[in-house]
Amino acid sequence: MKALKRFLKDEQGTETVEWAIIIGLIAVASITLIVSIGEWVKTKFTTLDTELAKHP
Amino acid sequence: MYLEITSGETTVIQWGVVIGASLAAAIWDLRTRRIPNALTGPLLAVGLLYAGWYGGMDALGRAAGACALLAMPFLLMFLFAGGGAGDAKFMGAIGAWMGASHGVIVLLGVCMAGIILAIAKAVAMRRVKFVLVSTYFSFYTFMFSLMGHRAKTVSADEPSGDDNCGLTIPYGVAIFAGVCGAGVFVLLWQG
Repeated sequence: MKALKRFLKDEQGTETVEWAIIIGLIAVASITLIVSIGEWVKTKFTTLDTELAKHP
Repeated sequence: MYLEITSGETTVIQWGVVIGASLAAAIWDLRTRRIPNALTGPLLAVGLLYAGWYGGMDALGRAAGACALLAMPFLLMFLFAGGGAGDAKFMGAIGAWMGASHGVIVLLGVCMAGIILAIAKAVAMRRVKFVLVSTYFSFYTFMFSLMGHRAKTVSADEPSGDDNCGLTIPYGVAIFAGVCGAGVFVLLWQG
């Protein structure tokens, strides 16, 4: 609750250069990973769907 | 450009609002090192209303999800590394306007602009080696905090990074640059 109040009140718009680099690298890596996994899952489901259609 | 809200597309109005608000935030951040709630609050509220008005509850849910998605990395920074909440809230408001698909592009653009701005500042201040070593140790501290150990909490009156011999950047500028970059990317490569 204290953290939420602090979050709502705080208007600071600065980041240290270290954290700007870290947050950038983490976000880029996470998005790349999620997009890759998404494509892999899509391919698997498409394959499954095709196989199921072959054997009604 | 699309003139109607559909599941994964944004309108000229949405891009215009986000770019305009980002420019205001960048100027404000440069002058005062703050992104005011007076800018972020209405931007978030109107973004959610706009999505709900034109796309119904489904679009409102997507806007709220995109808001959480874009704010999440900066919220983690605020909770575990003493980052600014102004950035987190403003990114959330942008997410409400952009939706998830274009929001992810904006997030990527902002993060990359942040990296470029940070490296440029380190080079300009001739402290590249210090920043790289500090980044390495800060990353391990962050991972340590994420894994359930004591999180770093910073009080509002604790001195900022510059006072602690660190370097800080006005992240509002990175947000504006990232939003513009994402807009150009969407315009050129996605129609």
